[in-house]
Amino acid sequence: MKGKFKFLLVAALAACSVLSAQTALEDEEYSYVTMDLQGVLDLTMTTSPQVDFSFKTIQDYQNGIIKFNAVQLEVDATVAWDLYVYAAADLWTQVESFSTNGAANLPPEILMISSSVDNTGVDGAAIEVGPALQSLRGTTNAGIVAGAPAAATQFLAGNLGTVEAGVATDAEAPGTASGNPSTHKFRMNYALYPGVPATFNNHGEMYAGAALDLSLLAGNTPDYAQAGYYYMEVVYSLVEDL
Amino acid sequence: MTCFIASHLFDYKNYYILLTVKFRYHPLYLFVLSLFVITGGLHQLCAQNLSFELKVSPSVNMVFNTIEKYQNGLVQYNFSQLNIDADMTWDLYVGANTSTQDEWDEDMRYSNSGATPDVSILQLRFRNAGATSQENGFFPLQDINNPVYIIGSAALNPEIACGNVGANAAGDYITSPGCHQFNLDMLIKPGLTYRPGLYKLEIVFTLVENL
Repeated sequence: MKGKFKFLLVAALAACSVLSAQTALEDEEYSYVTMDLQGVLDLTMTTSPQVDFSFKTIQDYQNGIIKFNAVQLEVDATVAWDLYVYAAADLWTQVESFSTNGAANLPPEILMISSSVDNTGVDGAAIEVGPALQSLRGTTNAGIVAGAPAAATQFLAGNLGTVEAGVATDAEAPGTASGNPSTHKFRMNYALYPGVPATFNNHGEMYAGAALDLSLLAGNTPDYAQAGYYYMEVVYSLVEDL
Repeated sequence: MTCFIASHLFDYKNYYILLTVKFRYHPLYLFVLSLFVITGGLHQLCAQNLSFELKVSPSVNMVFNTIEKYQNGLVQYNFSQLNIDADMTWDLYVGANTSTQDEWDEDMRYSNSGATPDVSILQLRFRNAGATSQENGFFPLQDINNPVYIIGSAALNPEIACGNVGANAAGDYITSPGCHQFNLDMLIKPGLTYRPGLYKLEIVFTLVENL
């Protein structure tokens, strides 16, 4: 009986040692996280959306009027982006005429624009805007179809085509205006140079390579602008790099 | 042979009855029966417990739809709670489990610009009343192959009593929640360099015996 007890004791110890020799105890728990990074493109105009030009004196007509920082734009983006500009129509809209003579059909190209951000020298097919004044293109001249840009569109940042941000220079990288003021903040200058008579032909171009000539527009006789009150809408379009 | 098959078919109690019928007076019966009863009892005697559980929903969804959220990040307080029950000293570590190491898994892509987010944009914080976590405040998540130890390390550590940083003494979350219970906070701060899309990852919490 004593022998049996010893045997059982040995067996018990052996069993215990076997149990103890198992691998380290371990337990795991899991948590699942989903993250929805939605693309954000914010274009903010920090100035008044309306810019008024009033020509009251011969000096105003002869020297023209330039409005510095007429429009300030800020871009905040989480994706690579382009910014382009065009006139929402092919003619200024005449609200009221102050005279019976002169041409009532004024093209958007009489408005000169420039940008504090120099986008010139960027490779690509589209027209780049920089610190030098250039005519603002109307919808047709800019090649805008359903709001989409084309090779004739004026780009304030980026250019036509899709390229990964940072790989080429035809797109601006994601960022905020406060963090990247030199590339994400735009101060736009506007200018009008009517001349006397108000033919606008001393500055700007009718379309690529052609001087401004109001007589080229149908119904414009003579070739100077009719005194009156006009307005035009300028469109700034911020899009993901396309 | 009968015994071997029976061990797969019956629990201990049924097994004992079967043996009684078949080998009632055989000496081998006494040996096998004794060994079986002893080991079964010892299993209860020697068995140690090491487990934990997640309380609160383990699934978290973070939506970034404004520049402010991208830049400042989103915080999910108490997104989960770890309850630990251990009969021995223990280690606790955490890591991300993804298809590509150190990168979130992409479910859907909204854009072509930007890079795949790094898992380190997700930060965790382990809080308890005893402030026993070895990581003070938020820390970036790392891949599970290179986990962050909240308690202990990959090596054998001495026992540290409750109330100290790195406390790994045996205990359970009911009697000593200050050392065996962690409230988890999550911070995700993507910044503006990552590609928009829908991403996911799995966070693995591992509780292991201190060896």
